[in-house]
Amino acid sequence: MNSRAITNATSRGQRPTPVPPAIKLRVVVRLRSTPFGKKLPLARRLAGECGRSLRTVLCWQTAYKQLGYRGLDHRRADCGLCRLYGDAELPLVVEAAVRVRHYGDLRREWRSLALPGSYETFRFWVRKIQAFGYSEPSDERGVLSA
Amino acid sequence: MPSVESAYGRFHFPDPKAWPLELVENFRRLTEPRTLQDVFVFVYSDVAGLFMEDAITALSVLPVVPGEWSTELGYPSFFFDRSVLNEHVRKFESAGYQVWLMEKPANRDSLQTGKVVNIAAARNTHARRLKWA
Repeated sequence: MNSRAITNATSRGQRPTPVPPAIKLRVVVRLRSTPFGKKLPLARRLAGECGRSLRTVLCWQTAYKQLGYRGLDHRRADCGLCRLYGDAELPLVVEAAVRVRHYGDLRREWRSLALPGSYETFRFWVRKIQAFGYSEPSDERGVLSA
Repeated sequence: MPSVESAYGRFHFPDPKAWPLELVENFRRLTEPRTLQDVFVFVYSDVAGLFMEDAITALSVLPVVPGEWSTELGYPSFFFDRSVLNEHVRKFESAGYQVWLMEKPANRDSLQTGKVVNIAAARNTHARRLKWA
């Protein structure tokens, strides 16, 4: 059949593309419906197809056994949240993101605000807020739920 | 009994560990080698069906209603009218799946063709048609 990869191959240091929960469920269902003795080679093959390790695929199976489909749709509770800036600092960064328009503005804001963390972190959040805005991550899950 | 909830209700299915081994092997024999993004639709005269993990995947892609869902054979099955086959194929493909249409060789005469038909050419979709015994 076709040989399309689930996730794109990533170079070193890049975060791999997340595997959709529906695909994880397919992996788990195939593993669980496979008799012992044939399970490990299949798990290796499916792991390769997903671009994940064998251990990761077996962890999906464990997560499914424990939590059902919801276990496969697990995300970090602080995913998308800024862990560095607290409630006091974050509004300042949001305001700075509005003010930063020209070359030099960003560094000027960084110096005047004296926020914790590095300049790179400040720049990352300013650019992210400028591009996408800042909103609290919702607890929405996929269509399927356990 | 495991269950998944789609936008159209909650659907139960037997634990994959308890699916009839012989039927699972038959299904694998018909569909292997396959990737995780391959979905096999078995086409009969009036209806089409998806089985096992493909049926479960259908819950996240297609508007499955309880009347079309079955676990009587010990594994999940989803049967739908053949008239909506193309629409379902399109939905699967827009979700990133590659659809394979499986058809019994007995239907070969009615199709007046003896070779694998590319549905992409015939019906303006990307699904491919295979024969199964």
